[in-house]
Amino acid sequence: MSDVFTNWQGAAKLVDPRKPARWGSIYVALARGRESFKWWLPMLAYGVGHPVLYLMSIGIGLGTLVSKNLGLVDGVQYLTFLAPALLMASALQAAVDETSFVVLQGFSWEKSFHAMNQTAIGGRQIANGLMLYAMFRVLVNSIIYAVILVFFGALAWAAIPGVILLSMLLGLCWGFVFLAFSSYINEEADMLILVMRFIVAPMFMFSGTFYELKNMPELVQNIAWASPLWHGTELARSISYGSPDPYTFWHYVILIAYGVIGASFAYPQFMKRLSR
Amino acid sequence: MTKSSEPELVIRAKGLRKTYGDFVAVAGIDFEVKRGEAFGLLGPNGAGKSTTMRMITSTLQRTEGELQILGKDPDKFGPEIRAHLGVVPQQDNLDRQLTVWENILVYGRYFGLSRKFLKNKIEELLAFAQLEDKRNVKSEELSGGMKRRLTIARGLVNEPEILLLDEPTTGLDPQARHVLWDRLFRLKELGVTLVLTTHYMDEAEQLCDRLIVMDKGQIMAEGSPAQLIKDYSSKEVLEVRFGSTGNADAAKKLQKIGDRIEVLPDRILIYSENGEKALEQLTKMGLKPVTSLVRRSSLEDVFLRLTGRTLVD
Amino acid sequence: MSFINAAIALAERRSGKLGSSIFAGRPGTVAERNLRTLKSSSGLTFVAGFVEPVLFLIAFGYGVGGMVGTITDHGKTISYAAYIMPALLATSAMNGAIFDSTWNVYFKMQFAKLYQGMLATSLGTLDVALGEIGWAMFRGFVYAIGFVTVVGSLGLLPSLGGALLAIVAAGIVAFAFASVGMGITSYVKSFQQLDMITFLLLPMFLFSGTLFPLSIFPEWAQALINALPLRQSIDLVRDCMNLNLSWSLFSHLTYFAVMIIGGLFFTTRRLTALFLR
Repeated sequence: MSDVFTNWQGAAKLVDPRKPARWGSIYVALARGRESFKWWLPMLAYGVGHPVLYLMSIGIGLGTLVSKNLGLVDGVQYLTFLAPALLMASALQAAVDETSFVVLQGFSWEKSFHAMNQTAIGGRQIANGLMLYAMFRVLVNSIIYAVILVFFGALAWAAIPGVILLSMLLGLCWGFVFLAFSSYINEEADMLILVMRFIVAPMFMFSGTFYELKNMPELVQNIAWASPLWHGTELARSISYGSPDPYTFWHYVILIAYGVIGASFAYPQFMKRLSR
Repeated sequence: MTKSSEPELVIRAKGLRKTYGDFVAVAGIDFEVKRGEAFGLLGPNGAGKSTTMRMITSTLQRTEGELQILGKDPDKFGPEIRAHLGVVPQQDNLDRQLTVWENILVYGRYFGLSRKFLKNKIEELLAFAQLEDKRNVKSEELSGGMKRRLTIARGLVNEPEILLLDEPTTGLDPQARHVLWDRLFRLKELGVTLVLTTHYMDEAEQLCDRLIVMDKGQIMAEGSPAQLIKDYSSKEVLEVRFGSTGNADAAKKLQKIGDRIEVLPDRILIYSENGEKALEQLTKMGLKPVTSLVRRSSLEDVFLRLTGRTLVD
Repeated sequence: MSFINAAIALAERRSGKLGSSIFAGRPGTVAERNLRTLKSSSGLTFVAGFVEPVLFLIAFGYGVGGMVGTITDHGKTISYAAYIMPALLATSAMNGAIFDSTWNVYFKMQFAKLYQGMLATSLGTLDVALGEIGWAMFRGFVYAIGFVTVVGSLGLLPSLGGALLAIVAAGIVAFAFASVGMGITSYVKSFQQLDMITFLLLPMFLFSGTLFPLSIFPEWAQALINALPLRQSIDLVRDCMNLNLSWSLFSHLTYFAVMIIGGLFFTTRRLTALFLR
């Protein structure tokens, strides 16, 4: 039998520092995965339940009232109008989930980021690992969502790849913004809850997800330009049913700008938090 | 009013037993605590101290046996008994969202004490705990030692007849421990009955008039600290180390020295009336310990004798 | 030196009275504790609770209302915003009470160890349960008043009397949901299970006639939905708001009385099992 003392080799011989330098982000993402896969069943239930329930109640229930009164919305059936927007909203939500409380947990509550940082893994890799796993969640979520939308006749098969790639871009860009924001919060979850209530929740309601934004006063329409969800939704609609959009270029520019700004705040703040 | 006719015994346990399924936490123990006494429960983790303590605080129902706190059955009169108790749990359960001042206020309100009474009381308690300049700080921002002091101050808000302290000084630095011991001593002088658990022998020796040593849910011995040391140990102890491989060999040669020896994984304890003399003998035999230490015998040694195990393992 | 003080006197006054092993007659002190926490930053999150239904009302009332036009329900034709308004009031009363009695209570129970502290004093488990649930009801009231004030400024209130009655109804709804919510939370073992509660509320919200009348569903589905607590809440608040007072109010009130008593019973029993056993 061997024990700690007879088997001792020493770190100099045992550890190749190039490995964690190269694969660190993956290790972090895998660690996140191991943590959250304990809850794969509720997550799957949520992933499937969310689109089905929304499509049945708002898409079909409310849609009945809309078609009776108005007929087509944006030139299509209400269900078709709603579907790509719902997918974008759920992608955004998944990205927010993976870049909010998880960050507070890692820095303050359980200090797991500090534990990672005690090994050969750095702050940048932790940030990247979190984003990597967030992207994985968005991907799985969007695939399930998109397939269900197709079964409801609300999305064409051909639109799936485009819509999924777009949902990942949205998740990545807004995910970085949230990652940066969360990393500035010290311990109080209240701050995060406030942002959820005053920024994320209104975003879901005023980004033209459930209705055409032109029904709203001009002020609301202008504010929507600040909403990444609105840009994502507009792009998704033009991919799904080809509604022409003169602002396509600007939608992409603004989304990517969010991502670049978010990342440029997130990385330094991650390093700073860990060296404090 | 405290009258001389009031029962002398404030706690009486007979055949007190607590089981969780097949697991026996407390295996039917008998003990009594007199008014004004400082009573200790001593033992390693898992000995059943905290379980016993929680049954006394009327927050855990017993499985079997009799228990009377201030003449009442805690299973039937929980809130009434608790009105007379001060509880300092093992882990601080302060209200993290409230300030130091508010913590004591709110706790006093739970007892139904008036705001007017509490206003003055809180000042006294803040001074007692040396937290006057932290009154408006949220309790979660306090250091470990301050939190402990606040928890104790909070437990005194209803001027309890019995103060129950579950490992009161675990995690405190030596200086803070001595300050706390002094405070507890003064409460005892006032006539407050103290019941405390500890796994620190020096603490038990300092504070307790009488104690029980518990292990695996049973009482191994009972008495005053001095009496227990006299009965179960010798006056002095010589501790020697021969390195991780040398202890066993050395122990064979040491059998004739002192009253008796204990061989632990990292050291050998030689019980003797005179430690220095034992060390001389040992050197004469040609043994060269890596380190050696002569000390007074303590409750730790009592525990080792009683159970064959060290206390903190 | 006397050690007998007000605490003991108070406890002894209740000695031997019915339920003295679980009730000391001071649930108010638990609510008082919660009121004190509002001064800190969580005060803002408290306010945030009523902003959500207001935003929802604006977004759906005007955004979706622009597509739906008017709604005909129970023979009356009203604007879409006016149709969803009482339902949103009921829903926000439910959400506020559930949030308080699930997430907040769970945190207090598992992490802050607050109830251990409370139950080390002379408080009983029923004091804790009533205090927490009463607090959730208070919160429901405050949200309802805020919501109704905003709705009034948008000109959507049918009458002042109706509005006042609807606020009371929202308080009852909050009490009932908090009572059941706390009962359930006392059995919950992880955050994921709490998430499941939130998730189960979603279909109830989506199908209880909040956003469109039930008449689009088949008869059997309508009967099923009518038995759900949110549907009962929406009916109660809507009837009060529209001063549509009939005997059916009593059936709703009986429904909520059962929720309240059942929830209190299970909560008290479970708290005793968790902290005093």
